[in-house]
Amino acid sequence: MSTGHDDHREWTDRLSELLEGTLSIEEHRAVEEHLGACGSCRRVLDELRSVIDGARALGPIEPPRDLWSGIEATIRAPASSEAASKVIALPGLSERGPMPASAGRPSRVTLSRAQLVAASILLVVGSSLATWVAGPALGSGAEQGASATPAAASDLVFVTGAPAEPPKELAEELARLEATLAEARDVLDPNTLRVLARNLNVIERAIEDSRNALAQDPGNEFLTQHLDRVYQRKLTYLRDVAELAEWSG
Amino acid sequence: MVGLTVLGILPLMVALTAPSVTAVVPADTIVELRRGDRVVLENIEGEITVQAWARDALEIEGEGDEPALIVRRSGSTIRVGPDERKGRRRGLEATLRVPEWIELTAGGRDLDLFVEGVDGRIEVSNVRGDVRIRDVSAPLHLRTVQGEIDVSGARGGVDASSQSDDVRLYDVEGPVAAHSGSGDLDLEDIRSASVRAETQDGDVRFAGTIEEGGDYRFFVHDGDVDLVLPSGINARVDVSTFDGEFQSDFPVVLQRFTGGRKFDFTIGEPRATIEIQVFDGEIRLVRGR
Repeated sequence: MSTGHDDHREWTDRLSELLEGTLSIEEHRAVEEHLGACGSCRRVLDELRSVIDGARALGPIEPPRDLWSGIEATIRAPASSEAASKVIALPGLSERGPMPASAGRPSRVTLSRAQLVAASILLVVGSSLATWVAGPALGSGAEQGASATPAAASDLVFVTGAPAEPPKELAEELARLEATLAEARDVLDPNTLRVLARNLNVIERAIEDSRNALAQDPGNEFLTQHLDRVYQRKLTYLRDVAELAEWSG
Repeated sequence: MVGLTVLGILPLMVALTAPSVTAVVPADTIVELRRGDRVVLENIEGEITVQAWARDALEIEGEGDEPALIVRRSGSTIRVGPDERKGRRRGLEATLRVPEWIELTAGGRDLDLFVEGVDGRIEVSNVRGDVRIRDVSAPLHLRTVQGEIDVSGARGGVDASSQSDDVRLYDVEGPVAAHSGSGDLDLEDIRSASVRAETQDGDVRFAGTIEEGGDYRFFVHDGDVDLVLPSGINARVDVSTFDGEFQSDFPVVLQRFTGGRKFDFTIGEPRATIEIQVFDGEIRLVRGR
């Protein structure tokens, strides 16, 4: 993504370290200086404090799924060399769910979204294990352990100006192709038109899903990329259809 | 424009050696070909089977009196299409035998196409109809709006897209790009350093090698991703999901959480890149043989 976003993420990454007291004096001063000038980071810092306080108040959280034992063991264990290097080691855990055929499954790590939420919180609470940035939808849809996430976590965002609408040129190209598709109604047979419309609906639904998600979480890099990809897919599809209409005409 | 010569009573062998010649061919007609020629199947509705044989010639074999196909040569391009003087023909069935080296292009509104044993480049653009390809060695470029794509035994890579239906690739070497709008992608026994699979509404299953320096990308809007990976692979794995779950047979050492929905880790050494992005669905990494 943009350099600005990356720069900002560097600062937000430092915030958890600030709270954990692991920054050097120089780094600490730099972060404080940045906080003085950056309201967004101040809000993130406040929310991080809220998450930590909330999690502390709740005590141990036990997600029902099998990942928990691995996380718990990692967090309760004395600091290891891996922990010191800010890496969480999650050894293979139990099996779950139907899987495609494979030869031997000695271990499996399972991370549901809720478990990732719990893991994220516990990382902040329990140790200085990981660098992380909390996202806005964490509390909203995670039914397991989600109660541990204060509602305010939904504000943990760094905004990158993610486009909900396609860029102007792309929008124009899409409009032109959609007009071509409308004209193609006279050329293509009804069955083909039905199929084309159904396929287009699938893409439109994906766009709508992505835009709704971005509205909840405007700083989400994945969602921005995902939406862009779906727009590109729509463009490719409409180009194909336009070619098809021209060819059939 | 291509000149039109209609052969009413056909000799067994039709030699289209002039720069621009057209012939209406009945069943069991053979047309001589030269190296460098390419065959284009256009606007045929029905079922066409194309099989390679050892002769430098094109044979068209139809059912009964069929097919009333026109064969036209224009330079090195041999065009095979319906005889439109008889009106629009649906449901043509024919078998074409072509040299192994032939380059083949096919397009139709409603065409089921089966190609076997061809070593030249194959390009298919179909509105409706299934595409099946077997034992080929040049790059494949296959597109269909409505119809399944099934490739087995391809040595030159595959670029396949079906808007509405499944894409199945089995025993493939070379670059792979697979797309479906609302179907599943089943990629089995893939030996490639470059794989890109994308579906808006369907599942992706990949089983294959992870090569050093390789790049493997899987994008799904609404569906699951299953990757069956060999033991002992070396790859950095990037996972992003908005509302999904993640499972792995491989030990996972998380190197970064970003919001609980984007993280990465390394299996062995980071000598290849595996990127998995799922908006809504499950991601499973399965240890294969």
